[in-house]
Amino acid sequence: MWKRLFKIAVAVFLFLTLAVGCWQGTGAINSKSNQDKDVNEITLCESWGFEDGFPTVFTPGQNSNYQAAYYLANFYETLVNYQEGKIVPGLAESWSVSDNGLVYTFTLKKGVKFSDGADFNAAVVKKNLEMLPILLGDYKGSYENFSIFFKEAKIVDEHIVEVHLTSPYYGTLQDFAKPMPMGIMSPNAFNEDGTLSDKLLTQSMGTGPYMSEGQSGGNIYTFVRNPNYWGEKPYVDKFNVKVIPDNEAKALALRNGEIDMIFGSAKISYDGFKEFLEDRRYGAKTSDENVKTRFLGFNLEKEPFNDKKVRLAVSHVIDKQSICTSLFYGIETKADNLLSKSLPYCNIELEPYEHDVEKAKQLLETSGWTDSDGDGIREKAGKKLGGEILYQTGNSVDHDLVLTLVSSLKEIGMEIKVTGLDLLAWYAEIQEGNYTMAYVKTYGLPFDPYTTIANMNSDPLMDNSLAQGFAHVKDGNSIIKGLASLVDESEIQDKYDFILKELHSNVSFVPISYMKELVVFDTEKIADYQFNDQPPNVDVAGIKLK
Amino acid sequence: MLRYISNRLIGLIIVLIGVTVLTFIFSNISTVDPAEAFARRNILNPTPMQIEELREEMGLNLPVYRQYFHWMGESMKGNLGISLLTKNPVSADIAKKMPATLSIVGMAFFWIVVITLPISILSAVKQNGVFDHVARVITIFGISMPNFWLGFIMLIAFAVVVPIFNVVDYGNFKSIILPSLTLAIPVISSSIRLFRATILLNMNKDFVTYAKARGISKTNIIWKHILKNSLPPMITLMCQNLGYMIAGSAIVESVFSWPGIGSHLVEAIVGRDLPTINGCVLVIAVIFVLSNLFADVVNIMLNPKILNEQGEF
Repeated sequence: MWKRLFKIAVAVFLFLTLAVGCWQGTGAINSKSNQDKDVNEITLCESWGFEDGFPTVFTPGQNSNYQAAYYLANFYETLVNYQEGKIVPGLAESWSVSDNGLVYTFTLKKGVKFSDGADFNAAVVKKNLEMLPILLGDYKGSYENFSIFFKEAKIVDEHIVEVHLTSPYYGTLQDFAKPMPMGIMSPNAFNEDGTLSDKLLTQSMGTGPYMSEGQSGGNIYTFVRNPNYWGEKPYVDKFNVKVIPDNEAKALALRNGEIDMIFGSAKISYDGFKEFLEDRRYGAKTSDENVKTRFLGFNLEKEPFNDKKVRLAVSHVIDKQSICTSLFYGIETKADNLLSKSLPYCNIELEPYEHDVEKAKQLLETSGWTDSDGDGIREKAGKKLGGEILYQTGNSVDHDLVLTLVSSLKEIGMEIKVTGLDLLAWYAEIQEGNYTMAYVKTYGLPFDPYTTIANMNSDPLMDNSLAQGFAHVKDGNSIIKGLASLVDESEIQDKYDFILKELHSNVSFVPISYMKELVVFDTEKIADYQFNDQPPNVDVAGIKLK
Repeated sequence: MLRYISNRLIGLIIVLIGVTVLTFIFSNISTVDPAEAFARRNILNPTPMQIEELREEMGLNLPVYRQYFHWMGESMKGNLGISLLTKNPVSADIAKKMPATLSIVGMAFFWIVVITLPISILSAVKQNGVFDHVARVITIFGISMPNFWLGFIMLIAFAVVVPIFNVVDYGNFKSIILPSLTLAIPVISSSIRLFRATILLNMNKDFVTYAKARGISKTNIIWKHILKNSLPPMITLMCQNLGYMIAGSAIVESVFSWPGIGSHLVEAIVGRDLPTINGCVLVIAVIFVLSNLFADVVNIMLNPKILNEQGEF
């Protein structure tokens, strides 16, 4: 028997050794040992790989998730850029807009080349713009609205291009500043029929400071300087992106020196960020710019939140300042407006609903909600005051915040159930209207304020958590739709004034805090990081080395 | 023997049909519409029209039983469909991810055999001695520790505090050690307890008393008699563990940034990638049942009397 067992064991062991041996051929990568000392090289991390390559136009047909989307600004440039709420020159030195808002004329920078050697000129811009609606297909308007209104692009001369729209759209220039899908790709990135070349699966073909060098074994992507880059040379010569799905593992990899930086609030918990902030070996920074707003939305068709006084009571009972200080460690700031004042058209003074528990209680009393049986929960006509908060699971900060909100609401006699669902189940419930209260975040830069406002239109219904907030306004949908085609800046501003004031006075939403982008880095290697003007974009050119 | 194996294989097919039917039913019970899920993942603002188009494209507008038969028919031909997330054939994705998982599971298997056998034997022989007590306490810890926690403790200890290993490493022999140990420790702990108990049980059997009476040395009794009779349940357990480890490798893979089948399946579940979920479940189920069959065959090879007992001869 032992001989047989021994034979089986030897066979299994030999097979395993063979399998492991063959598999070792994929090559091992260790960033610590692999880095060349003469090259300024750093290593970042990402939760997923870039299997779908580096096009600037992503559709479900080509891509599985946003993959390289937040890295595109390193490889591609846009005609204009967004900076502190304003549009500034990018690949276009200057531009003008016709009085009817239908023609945008861009004067392009001269002497710019793509990383593959092709020249940047009006013909390339025309090609990119013409292919955009075709590449997006049914998904036009998913990431920007420009492609819906695009009519044609005309070459005026080698460096001047005219872009014609079928109808004016007030967010056109903001759309032009989005690396995805408006980053300009080399003419070689397209096949003859206009579809995207397979070369983009491994190469980036833009005018930005870096380009892709390829993927090495063990899911590491490497990027090097674009030798044709026209601008000032950034500090970093070469950077790697390691795929590390787990956030705790990312933090450990930074501590052990395998990576030099963790970028983005999605990749590090606030507790983790605070630990690094207190450790002098590491730099921990937040963006100045607000990135998104956390807020509570209500189902205005369901009791008890169809009553404005109840919503107002909720608004008064939440102590936003203490949430920001204690729960968010001061990383986030208190939000009184749904859309941050730093966003275009959103600098509107609104009188905040300050933290005032007594006032909240009073509001409920006047609305007829009283605690008649002394159980701490208010009732009206035999019904208990309560409901549920739907939130997306997967993030411990969100979970803690929702629990804090529930305990605050309990203080005024409101019994709220917490229902956590994964992202997709959460959307399904919200769209069906199966909720009373929802914990939501705005779309964030660069989609705020345009997409957030546009989705308050309920026909077609894109996002019920937003559409509910404006549903009470007569002709609300046509107001939102009409806004898109306005040309006159003061008219646009007037509409924004109306919409934002209406949302505020109706207490359609309870803004809680403004989120920031985060970055943590090893100060032995990196001296500082300057956030991109659109902070969620990873911007390696913003890294200053020691 | 061949008849036994063919009978078992027929049984396995029924099990596999059951598993796939259940997977289909559970996927369809979910409140999340896979077409909408797909659209939400890929488009910031999908319109109901876009979602409807996707549903038709993906064949999700058909009744569940038709989807199932279509999928079943195709998978018979070796076509498990196209992944909604990666756009690659599901079988190609599985083939790409499987070696990574098999390497840690294989290594974990090696640890299990190498560590379980000596410790259990020693614990049983020195029953209630110091070694036995220490082993018992450690195995209780091993069973109770969640995999992800153990993984992080390993990483902190051996990659950060004492930097022998890398936190993120893949593609070399060194990189397999920590994840495979993490996967193996809970299994080792439970196996030690089971094997020790089986050995102790056999120690009190008549054949041991008889062997002692024949004057056979203690070492010989343990190695030639007790162990031989204690092995069958261990072999079954080990082979079952092989299936469990492949299915349960997701957490360990996530902690060690390991691109294997477990994390691939979890991604597919989160993204409601039905073809990948069905494909992975099918493959894992096949491995699971085949490893059980393998366990039975090995047991029969070691002790052909089992077949006689089952009335097969």
